[in-house]
Order: sequence, then C-alpha cells, then structure tokens
Amino acid sequence: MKRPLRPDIAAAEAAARAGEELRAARLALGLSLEEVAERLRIRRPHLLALEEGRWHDLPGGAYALGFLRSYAQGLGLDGEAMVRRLRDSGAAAAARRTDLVFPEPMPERGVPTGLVVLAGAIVAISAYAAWYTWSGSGERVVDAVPPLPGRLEEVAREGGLPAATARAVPPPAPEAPVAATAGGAAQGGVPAGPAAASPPAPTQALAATVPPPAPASAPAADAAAPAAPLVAAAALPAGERPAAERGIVLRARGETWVSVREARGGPPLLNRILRPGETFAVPPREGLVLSVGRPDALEVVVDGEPVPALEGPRGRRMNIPLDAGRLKAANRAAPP
Amino acid sequence: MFSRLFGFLSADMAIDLGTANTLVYVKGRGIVLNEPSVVAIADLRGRKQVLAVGNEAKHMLGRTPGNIAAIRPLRDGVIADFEVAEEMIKHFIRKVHNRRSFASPLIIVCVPSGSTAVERRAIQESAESAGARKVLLIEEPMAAAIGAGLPVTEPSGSMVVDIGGGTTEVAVISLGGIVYARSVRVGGDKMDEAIISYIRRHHNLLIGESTAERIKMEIASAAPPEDGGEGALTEVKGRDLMNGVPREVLVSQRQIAESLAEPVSHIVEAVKVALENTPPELAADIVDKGIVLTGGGALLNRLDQVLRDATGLPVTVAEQPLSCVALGTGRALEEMKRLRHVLTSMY
Repeated sequence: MKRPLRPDIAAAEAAARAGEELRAARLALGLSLEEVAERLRIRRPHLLALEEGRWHDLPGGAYALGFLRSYAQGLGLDGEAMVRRLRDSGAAAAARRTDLVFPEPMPERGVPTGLVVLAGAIVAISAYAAWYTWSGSGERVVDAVPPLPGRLEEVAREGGLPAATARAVPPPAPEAPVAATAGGAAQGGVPAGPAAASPPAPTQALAATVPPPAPASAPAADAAAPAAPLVAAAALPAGERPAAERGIVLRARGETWVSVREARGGPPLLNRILRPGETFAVPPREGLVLSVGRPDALEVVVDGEPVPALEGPRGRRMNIPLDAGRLKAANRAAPP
Repeated sequence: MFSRLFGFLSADMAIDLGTANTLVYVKGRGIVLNEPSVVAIADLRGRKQVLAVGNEAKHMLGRTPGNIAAIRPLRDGVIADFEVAEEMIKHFIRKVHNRRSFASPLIIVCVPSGSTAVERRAIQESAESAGARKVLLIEEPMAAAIGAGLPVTEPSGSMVVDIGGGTTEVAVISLGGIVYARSVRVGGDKMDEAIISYIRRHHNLLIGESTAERIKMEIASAAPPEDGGEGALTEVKGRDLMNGVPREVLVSQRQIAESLAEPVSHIVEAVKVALENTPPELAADIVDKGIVLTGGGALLNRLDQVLRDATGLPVTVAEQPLSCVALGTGRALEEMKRLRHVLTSMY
C-alpha cells in the first residue's frame, strides 16, 4: 500500500500513531498522566497533546521533539527511533527548522533617503536641461560681442571719407570675398572694423598697423561672416569706381534692407540693412537672387558699370536674379 | 585587497573552536570536519614543526617521547597557547580547502560567553593570522541555542545549557539576545580530572587523560544506578602508585558517578543561579518549555534526570548535542544577513 499521501496528512497520521504508542505504553505500565508529569516534569497538557497527536499545541522548535523523546524514554520505549520516524514523516519538518526573524528597529518616519536623493537628482538634471535649452536660443556668439562705441564709429567715418581715394576693396578672392564698409563691420560688432584701410591712408586711426588688403581682410572676416572673408572698406563716394572691380557689386545710396541668397534656398549670404555708401561684392556664383526693400536706394554695379536692374515701380522687389551677363545685356538694351 | 579577491576562491567557514573538539562547518556543505583539538609538535634540532593535528595527534596524547609534545592549545574554552592554536586553525583551513593556496575565507568563530575581551581578541587574532579574510565572533550559548533549533528570536525565554569540554554555559535567550548568561569552567575536562583523582585515591592507580575520557564515555553517569547496585563495570589500566607497575582494576558505574558528583554539582549550581537571575516573565516561559542541554556533556547518562530533579523543570537533550554549536555557528554563516545581530567583532 504505497499510496502517496499529502505531506500534512501523513504527518498528522504519524503523530497520531506515535501518540497511540505512547498512551498504550503508559497504560501498560499502569501510570496516570499525572504520575508521568510528576516524574518527567513535563506539564500535563503537553503530555496530553503528545498522546493525542496535537503537534501544534506543543511549544515550537526543538522542544516538541525533546518532549517526545523524554516521554518515550521515560516509558522505556526507543525515543530516538520514534523521533526519527516522526521526522521522516515530515511532522517535525517545520519544528526542526525554526524560522529566526530578529526584531528589526522601526524605520524612521519620513521619506526614504534613497527617494530623496533620486528626486533631488531629477530636479537638478531638469533644471540644467531647462537652462541649457532656454539660455542658448536666439543668441549667437556674434551678438555677444559689444557693438562699436559711438565715438569710434565717428572716428571711423571721419577717417574713412578722406581715405576714399585709397579704397580697400581687394580683388575678388576665389572663395567668396565680401567687402563691407567700416560701418557695416562696426554694426557686426567688430571694433577693429576699419582694419583694412590701406597704407596710403596713415591718418586712419584704427588701421595703421595693418598690412595691405588681402591679409588684412582675415581678422575682420572672423567676426562677421566666418565662411566668406569680409573686407571692410572705406566708403566710396558715388561715381568713383575701382578699375579692377569685377563682378556684381551692390552699393547702397540710402538705407535699405538687402538680401542675397541662393535661389535654391539655404542661408542668405547677406541679409541686413545696408547703410548709405556701403557696398557688397556679390560672390561670382550661379543662381543667386537679390531682394531689396527700397530699390531706389540701391545701385547694382556690374564690372564697374551701374546697371538699371532695379528701375521700375517703387516698393519691395524680390528675387531678382544676379546674373552679370543678363544685367549687362539689359543695360545695353536700355542705356541710361 | 588581495584577500578580498581570494575570498571568491575560498569557502566561508564557521568554526566551533572547542576545548575538546573542533568542528568546521563550510558554507553550503555542512559540517565537514570534526577532530580533537590536539596538535603534536616536534622539536627537530631546535626548530619546532607541526607533526600532526586532530585525530592523529590525539593518539599521541600522553604517549610522546621527549622531542614531541602533544598539546591541547585550548584550556577552559579559551586559547592557552596562541601559536599552536594558530597552527591548528591554519591546518583545518587548509584541510577544508584541500590544501589549495590563497584560501582566505570569512570565518565565524564561537567564544564562551564568559570569556574576557583579551581572550576573545586572542581567538580572533589567531584566526586572522591563520589566513582568514575576516573573523566574526558569536557567543557559544547563542550558537548552541540556534543549533538546537530553539526559537531564540521569539519574545519567549529559552534556557540552554551547553556543557562543553572546558566550560559550561548557561544562558537565557529571548528576542535574539542573551538575557542572562553564566559560564563556569567545568566541563568534560573537569570530569576526566575527577575520574583520574578518584581512581588514584580509591585504587592507588594512576591513569591518563585518554583513559579517563574513555571511562567517561563508556560507563559514566551523573547519578548512581537507581536500583542501588553497582551498575556496569569496565576495566581500567594504569600504573600502580604503590609499587609502580602497570595494573588493571575494575570500576563500576556507581563509583564513577560518585567521582563525578562534584563537577555535576557545579553544573547544577550554575543552572540554579541562572534561574535565580532570570526575569520572572522569562522564568514562566522556562517552566513551560524547560531546559535544553547541548554539548558533549549532555551525553552524560542521566544528567537530564539530575537537573530535572534539582530544578523541577522539564529537561531535554538536544538532537546531535555534540554538533549543536557548530550547526548554530554554521547557520549564522548561512543566514548572515538575517543573523548579523548575533555576530560581533573585536575591532
């Protein structure tokens, strides 16, 4: 009969069998529970629980097994064998391995430290992220450079006009030379804007040490348009044209917004208000278009000759193609 | 730093460094070693060398020539010979690790509850210099109670009496701590000595420690036989004190019980004192559950009965009383996180 039993049932059965055995042995010896209790000093309720197999009413752990062994030996039975039998059945499995749970101190009130640290870290990181996002927007390095003080601007203008004979517009560099007047450079925030003044004009206060045009263009270029060398030049009086000037040059007669960009899109090469007298040498590149706010205030010069590209109705003109050939052809077709 | 690295290669150990026997429990493997705490040291031209440790050395006890000394490095539960104890621990560590080099295990060692700080430090230091990465100490009664399976963490008093080779520890434990502990330096060794002196006095026969221990294990009893007879008899061989020749006598259980009356009364006295000092609530628990005996001394015949009659409490002997302390120390090692409260360190 090897029917598998549920462990607790088997255990209860084994405990009950052991209890029966103990009771039979006690009765055979003609002892009462009281007499046994007196001799073994085990309390009567515990002896009764042992005999009736009520394992749960006995003190836990090793005590119950100890009582069983003492009782069995006191009655002349083999206590060890009985304990072993009971243990094998699983009745004492729980008793054998007492769970030791030490009393732990109550946790301190309040938020756990780990949570506080985590929350603090999250707040700090989000604060940094917010600062990084908002403080950087719409502000370029160039804007951070202070504008030319009014005093220096005046000096530049005063010194620039007499020096007009010695223009500083360099021959167009292969890359993309951008020539601007001192005023333009100053607007970009470069105090050394007039640095390109040529040696024949030593009276120009701020440009005395700078060597001739080509190298002089470099420092100014750094400030205003990193991609294209920008040459600050003294303002040229209307009509005086450099013989070496080639390509298209925009010259402002009055204050006007001018934008030069590629027709395909992309960042504009020039997009600002030109002051009277400022010039902009358009880089010799295909597909550039011009937009201008006040066409009457801007003069387009092709290879040193003004062309009437902007004649017509007043008001804003957009996307005029800057093609030297077409502009010149238009000039020839309609001489002034 | 290296010890931490080698810690991965080492099996952590719990050691019951007893006066009579040393048991080693290895984490995950159980008790792997149980040998007498004896070291035989040979003096080879002025250089001392360990000749044997454990069982082998015990056979040499009392039978050594001049250049060999069989030493028991522990007396009364504490280290008496520091260097020899260190050699012994080193030997056991190597034996457990199959003589693998670089073993630096975590070791939990138990100490008698009555030991002084100096004695504890001595035990800890010898375990450390034997190659331990870290040494933790546990009080012997606590280890014994855990090993016996007592519900030590419940808010209910448990009394454990651990009768070892050198000391007897009586302790009342509740809520995972020792409420009261008393350690008396009476144990198996004192019983052996009592047997030796009794036989010398009554039979004029001088016997050795090993013989005395054998008599104790064979026929000793804490109380004379109930039927008033002589009880079992055993042959005892030794040297006659009168004429100096070897001789054999027969001693009875009654005689040995008589000889053990003094050490047994010390143990009973210690238990009574502990009961007197137990807070009343815990005393009530102990009336209900009684006293649990552990240690080799618990195997002394009818000691439980003597204690039962003396105290009027139920007295039970733990299962495997000899290995209770090692099992308890081992459980502290296995469940170190949960049982960390019972572990201490001298540093």
